[in-house]
Amino acid sequence: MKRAWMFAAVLLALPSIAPSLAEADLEDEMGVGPEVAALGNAVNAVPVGFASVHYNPALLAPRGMRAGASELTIGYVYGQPIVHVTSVAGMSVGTPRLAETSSVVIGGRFDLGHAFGIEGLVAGLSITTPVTSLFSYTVRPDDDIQWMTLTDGSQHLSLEAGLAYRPVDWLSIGVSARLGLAVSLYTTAAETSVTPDAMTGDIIVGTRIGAAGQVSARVSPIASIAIMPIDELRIGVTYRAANYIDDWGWSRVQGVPGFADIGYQHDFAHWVRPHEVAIGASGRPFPWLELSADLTWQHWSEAMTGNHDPGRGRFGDTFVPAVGVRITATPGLDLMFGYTYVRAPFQNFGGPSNILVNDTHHASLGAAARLDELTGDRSLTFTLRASFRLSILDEAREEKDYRRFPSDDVMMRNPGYLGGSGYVYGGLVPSVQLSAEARW
Amino acid sequence: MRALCVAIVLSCLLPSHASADSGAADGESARAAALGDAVVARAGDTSAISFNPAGIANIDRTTITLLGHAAYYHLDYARTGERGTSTERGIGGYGISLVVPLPGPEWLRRVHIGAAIHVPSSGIITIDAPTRDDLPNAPLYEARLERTATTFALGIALPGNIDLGIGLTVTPSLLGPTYVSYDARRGATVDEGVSVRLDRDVRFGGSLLVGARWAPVPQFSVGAAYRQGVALRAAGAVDLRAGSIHADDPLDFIDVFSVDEVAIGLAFQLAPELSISTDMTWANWSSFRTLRNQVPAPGFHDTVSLRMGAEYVVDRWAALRLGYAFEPTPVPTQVALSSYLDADRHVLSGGFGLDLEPLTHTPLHFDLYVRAHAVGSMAFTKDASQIPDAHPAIPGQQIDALGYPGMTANILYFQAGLSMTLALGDHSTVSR
Repeated sequence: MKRAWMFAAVLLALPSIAPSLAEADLEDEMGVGPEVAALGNAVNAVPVGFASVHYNPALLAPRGMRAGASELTIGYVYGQPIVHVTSVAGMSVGTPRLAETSSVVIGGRFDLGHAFGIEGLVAGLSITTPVTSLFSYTVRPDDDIQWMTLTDGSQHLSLEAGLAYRPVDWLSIGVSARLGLAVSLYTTAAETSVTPDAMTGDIIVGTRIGAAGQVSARVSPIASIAIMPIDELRIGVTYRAANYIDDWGWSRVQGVPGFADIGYQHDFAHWVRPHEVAIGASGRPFPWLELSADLTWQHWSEAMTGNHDPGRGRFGDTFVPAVGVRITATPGLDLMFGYTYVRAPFQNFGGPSNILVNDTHHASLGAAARLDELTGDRSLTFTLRASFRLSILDEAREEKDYRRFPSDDVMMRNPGYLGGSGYVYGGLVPSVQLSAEARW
Repeated sequence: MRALCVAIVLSCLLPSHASADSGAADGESARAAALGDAVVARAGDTSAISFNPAGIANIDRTTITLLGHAAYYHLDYARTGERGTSTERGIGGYGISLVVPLPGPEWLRRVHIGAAIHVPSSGIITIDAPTRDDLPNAPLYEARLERTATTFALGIALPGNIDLGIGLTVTPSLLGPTYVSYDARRGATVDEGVSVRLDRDVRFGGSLLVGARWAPVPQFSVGAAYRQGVALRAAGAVDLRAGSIHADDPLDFIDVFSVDEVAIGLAFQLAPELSISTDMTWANWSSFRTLRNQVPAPGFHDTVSLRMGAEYVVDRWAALRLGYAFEPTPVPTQVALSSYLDADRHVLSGGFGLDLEPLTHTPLHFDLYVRAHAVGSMAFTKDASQIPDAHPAIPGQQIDALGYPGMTANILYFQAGLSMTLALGDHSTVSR
């Protein structure tokens, strides 16, 4: 009996196994709405309606905004990863299922201050949610071969609310709150039956399950400033706090004959985004042309994985450049183009982890049609937008390095060893977005 | 100890046990609460999103309502001949509702869209699923005010003062299988030998809302609404492998927040300052399922509840409101294994509204409400013949039901809340 208790104690003391893995989020991977997507996310200094609540909340209240204006937008985004993981011998390697992105985007922007006689006080709200899920993610051991930003890519609710105030024409400040989640789950099962399986020799334990826990909200702040010395020039600086999902708890089976209680406790974290600082500028050298450029520092080195093996992979900070072009082809019709380059924030370095993330080029284009200007009917205060983005994942290779494993046996059992030759991975992620905006 | 180890399993996001509806917490404004939620035939409030989506067709400006509420819940229960047990807790929540009449030509301006979100202060989802089914609990209170709900609505204003509406309440369902195994050869330490494969998938389920409202004359309106029941489901697999020990149990849980309802209501404008309204609601409680998705024994029965509200407006800027509801309990006498605690209840409410627009031209008003549930005392005695034998292998009937041989209980519930409503933009008018 003493042995059984010791065993149980060891199990329950199992330290947190914390394979935290980063997810992608729609804001950065695809863009909130077709305007952002088409401009290559280079919108830190471009007012993009409700979507500014994420990229630069100060631009919810840009210079020149009509007093009392409100907007409401509904949109849809679809993206489909077309990727491969292939052993050097040419064999396809299985990974957890890659989910398509199929999300609805709802946003609004309201000039609250006009009602109170405070000009320049504007609120914004953005909700992005997958069509079928509030959130969806997987936890796998770090040595499972898995995509970092695609497996769970944008499969989670994103809710942001912000407020901007423009005290003078040339300056606007803004803050937003971004919803994060924390999941705690304590599961306890009581043994109800024990049945030997004559075929396999296993002992089948029947249980009755109970649980206590919570899914609660956490808030990540965003703060920004926009400087607009003239109508044709804007400069923006934005800070976005890290956003991640905690998932912790325990699972126990009580009263297993000969073993007392057995169980594990876990403490996972799913990094959606690290701390970020973005600077951007936009200018309109001609009435028909607007140019924008952003540079975003992403503090990925604070993210973690839970693999306790030596020589594990590592996150590193990245700089993300983005540029956008808007051409007003005719009054009421804009054509937009954009490009973003994102370096992979994680490297396996030939170690036990098999987390796949590539350097990525995002190229995009889109159009916006303001129906009132195009048709001359002033009552048609609607804007329709569409965009297409192609994300190209630079092919990368992973080959295991024996110096990063405790033994040859452990290395050869690693799912990424594949006979010693390793594997290559890459692909494409095309995405399209559509939206309709009503203006008052 | 070298033998092996370990592992475990389980996990599945289980929902907290039952709940009910005696005034929807989601989308409910302080005005609606003060009126006893007798608002099916009343217009002009964003809480119509949840009670009767047709009502939003009568809101002629972009309107945003923010609500905060707090409540005190106290449950006493005692087994016959034993000292009692008390539980009490504070409950809070926040809500935001938005109604927007679309711009554009007149046919489009007849269309109004609305959205309401209610989030409990304690968490988006609360999980409380005991391993025993016979723990005493109050299914109409336990989780009722602590659920997250989002409702979208569409209202259309038709000629003839007829309004139609449709809505969708989104409720999460949880899928959370976990697989845990141990392989000592995976790494150098016990930790590295354990592998956990865990999926978390919170999927949307939808519940339909359909409503209509007709005001043949300015002094009278009639409304009707169908509200589909809201339930949270949880499913997953439990797969534990620890050496030769293998536990693998599928899970399927359901948490019934509300059942299908049909409500009809009447509203009268008796004088320019005074209006009254009344609703009658049929609730299909006989469809109630236990946490483990089983028909309770004995089963719940359908109910018809009555609500009344009165509003007196003073000089356009102040309003006094009173409300009353009688809600018969759907829970039968608990003679078998389960111990669901509930009784007929009288709900009393009151409130005050302050509209700043007539005073300061600021389109802002505040509403305050208080509400109390007077729940009758409950008592039951178990019928041993309806309680299953806890240990059939032991001679004689072994009873370990927690409510045996009987139980008495009392419930106290008080609530207060404040909402702020802001109107934006110009009035949007269409010919009626």
